[in-house]
Amino acid sequence: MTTTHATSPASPSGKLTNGLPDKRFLRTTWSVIVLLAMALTGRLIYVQVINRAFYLEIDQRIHPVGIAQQSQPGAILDRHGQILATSTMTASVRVNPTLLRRHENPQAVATYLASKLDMSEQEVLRILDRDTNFAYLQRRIPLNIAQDILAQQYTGIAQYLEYKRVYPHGSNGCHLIGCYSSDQRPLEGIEYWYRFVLAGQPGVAGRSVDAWGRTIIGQEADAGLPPVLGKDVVLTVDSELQRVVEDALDRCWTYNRPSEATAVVMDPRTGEILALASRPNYDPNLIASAGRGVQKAPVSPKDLRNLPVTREYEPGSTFKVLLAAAALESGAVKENDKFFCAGTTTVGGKPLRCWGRWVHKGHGNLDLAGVLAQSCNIGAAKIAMKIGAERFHQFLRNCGIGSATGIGLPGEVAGRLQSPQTMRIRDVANMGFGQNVAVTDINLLAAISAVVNGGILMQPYVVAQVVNPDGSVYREVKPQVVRSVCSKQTSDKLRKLLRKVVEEGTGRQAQIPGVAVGGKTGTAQIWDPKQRKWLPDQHLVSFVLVAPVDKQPEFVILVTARNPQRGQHGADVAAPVAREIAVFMLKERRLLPEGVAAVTGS
Amino acid sequence: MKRLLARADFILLAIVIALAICGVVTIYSCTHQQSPHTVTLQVIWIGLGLAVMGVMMAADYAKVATFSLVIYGACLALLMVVLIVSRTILGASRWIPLGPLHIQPAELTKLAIILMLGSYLTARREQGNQDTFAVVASSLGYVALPALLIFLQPDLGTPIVIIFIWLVMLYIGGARLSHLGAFVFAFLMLFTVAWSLGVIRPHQKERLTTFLHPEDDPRGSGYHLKQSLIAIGSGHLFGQGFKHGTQTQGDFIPYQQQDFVFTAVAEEWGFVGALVLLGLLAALLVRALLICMLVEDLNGRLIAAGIAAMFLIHIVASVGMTMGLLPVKGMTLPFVSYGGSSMVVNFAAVGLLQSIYMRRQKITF
Repeated sequence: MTTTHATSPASPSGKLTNGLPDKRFLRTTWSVIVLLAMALTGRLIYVQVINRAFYLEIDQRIHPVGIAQQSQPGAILDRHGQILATSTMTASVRVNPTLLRRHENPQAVATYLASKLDMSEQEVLRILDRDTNFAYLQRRIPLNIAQDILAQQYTGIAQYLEYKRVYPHGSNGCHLIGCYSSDQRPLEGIEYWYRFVLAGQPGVAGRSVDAWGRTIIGQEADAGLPPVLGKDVVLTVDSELQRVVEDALDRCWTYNRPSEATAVVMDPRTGEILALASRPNYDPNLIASAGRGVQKAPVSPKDLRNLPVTREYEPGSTFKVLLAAAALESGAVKENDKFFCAGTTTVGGKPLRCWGRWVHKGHGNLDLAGVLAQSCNIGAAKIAMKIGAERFHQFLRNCGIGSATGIGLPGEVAGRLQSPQTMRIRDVANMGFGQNVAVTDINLLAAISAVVNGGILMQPYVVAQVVNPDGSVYREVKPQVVRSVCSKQTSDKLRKLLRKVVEEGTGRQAQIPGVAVGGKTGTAQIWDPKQRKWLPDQHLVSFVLVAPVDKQPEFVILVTARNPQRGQHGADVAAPVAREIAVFMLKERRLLPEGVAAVTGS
Repeated sequence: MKRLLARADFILLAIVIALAICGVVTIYSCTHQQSPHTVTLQVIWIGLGLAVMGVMMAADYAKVATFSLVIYGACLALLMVVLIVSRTILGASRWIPLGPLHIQPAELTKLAIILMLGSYLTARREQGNQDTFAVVASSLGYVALPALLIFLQPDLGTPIVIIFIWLVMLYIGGARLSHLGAFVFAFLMLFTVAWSLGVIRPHQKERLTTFLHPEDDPRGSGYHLKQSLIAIGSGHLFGQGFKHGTQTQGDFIPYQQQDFVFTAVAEEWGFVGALVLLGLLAALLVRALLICMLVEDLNGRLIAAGIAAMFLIHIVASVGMTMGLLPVKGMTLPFVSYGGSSMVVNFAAVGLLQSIYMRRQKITF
């Protein structure tokens, strides 16, 4: 480490004999650095000066970006192909207020827009005055109106095409079909339950953005995926029948003024739901088009509720149909067994009253047919006790009482059926006339359909087919037998009993001349689980109508009305609605003898 | 002491501070939107670095060198700790979490190896057998262990830096070129084998090869390079202006305040700005080499050469990768890139250089 080494002569290999490098080696390192510096600088010159235009162009423009492209959701059709819900292309008019103010006279633009849109001049001006680059003027308006506005060529106004859900039948069948929210999301009914089938897949359209992410118009890349259309859903519902059901229920709604009302029609042979209506109702179009510039939809959450599947209630006397079936099937009761009703009795230490006491000291001696026809509660209680908790419960379980039917609609509830182990004698007696048991309309309808359908319980369903966009069938739903709940003999006997109810009993209001109609009335007390008491002066009246009953029935109709302000029995509130529906259906099926139509035109 | 300080290399000090200022300005431009604290932290790192540099200047590098084995051992221990307890960040665990700080032992290891090799080669030189093959082989042992530990983190960049430092120091230390050549050849063979056996992870392979054809994978590894080239290219002569680089401000380039800091400079300050930065970096190297040449003590010369080599490969790799000349390898630009560990270590290295420069002549009383 002395200077002598550094000054000694270098060997040809550049290394000193003692191995210490001299300054020349450091100079080699120097030259390496210079070379590297030149390489880096050269590259810098190449990229930044020579090739500058190339990179600058990339920097200033073209960055392809994929954007989702809406796909048209599938339609909902009735069993005959009538459109119940579909999506149409509409335009949403948007504005860049900042840009518009710079190039146009906002006052003039507002005056014009107010004449075209569902907005006042002040409303338009308020949007145009906003300090933003984006605002919607109005969403989902007809294409021709948007065309007119665009034709004015105002700077800063553009349109965006988007689908809007349309319901041609308005409020008819709204609870079954469901609805879209104002931001076009499925909310209820079939729309919600089949949302993935209906939706299809959004496509991807090419788009180009600059370095700041701004879209460059006219630079759409050609690589993109077309949207996949949604599938159509075909319902079992007959829209013509649905209209009749709605009209009939509307009359009841306005005349009897109940707080809730439902009507459901089912084909007992297949389990198809042919019509389903619920009150209060709403127009799904109002929800789907609610938004800026449109008044808030006059729809309350109550209106949205699909009562036939989401409401569980104690059915009352219509339940006696199942009681009679259970009695006959179990053999506990013979057709001519007599049950005495004195108007009141004592069961389980508590008095049990029958409406018969208002007539003349009770119903007296009644056989099974009489109990049904007169809707005798004491008789029904005695029958129930005779069947016994275990057997009655088993029969009801088989009929599907106490469990959801799986109809395929959102929000279905199961109802309630007490287990026989916890049933006291009083509970069994109450179940005989349809209290202490909770059902949904669909639940009860399916069970009654089973016992009049030769004992075959069919799976209730509302969707018949799912159809691909090209028209081919994607999935077909076939009628499905759930199980046999009673023998054909029991079913035949039961139909005779039901016919008697209409011909001689409480269901006379449902008589249709020339047609064998069966039915059963119901008037139930309403249990309020919150107050834990029976609501005074509140009733749920109902009527179940089966026709024709002299052969295999083709339809079963269940009509309920809660707390009607006018009329107070199933017979005078619900039976006329069921009858009106039945007359229409019989006429349609040419089951109504000639000339009867005129007589029964209510 | 005063006299000693007066002999410090103020040009080197000025260069380093200028580079640090460049870094602060650029980091501010890159991060003022997303994380405004980054630049504050960087200033703190610089302050810390200056303090460490002061300590290193005051200390005699020869004294420091006597601790080289201790420092080296500590680094090895820290590297073990990294492998065992550190968190996994960005798919590679290189940090030791220490309260709010994350320290990167790999950075310190570079300096430790420089000191270690300096002492070792000086000792061999004193024994007069500095040019034997055995020296080359055994000195490799000092280097191989930490390089392997760092490689396992996994980090492919730092082992390359260490190998380069080793080559340069051995060359300066008097090893035969043929020996070194043999080792470079062996290393390349080893690398080839490692490549084909899959020891090199796929993401590392990708990074090593995409610089040759960035268009193949514009969304993946090539993305960095492509965006970097666009940014540099659009900078043109005078740049898009402070806080106005589209690529930089649009956050198109990941880690632009760290490994891709040169890109941000080139875009916002253009060719002129980039050239000024390159000039400062070149000046840093020149000063380091001048010190290497001026010093008469072999250990000092070796340390200076090692430090110069460390700066050199960092600069070339960091700048080269942003322009597609070299593979994209996480390599910081000394004094400019964001990062605490590297900043402190770089200042410590400059402190050593200063210490060597100040004591370049044996003080005679």
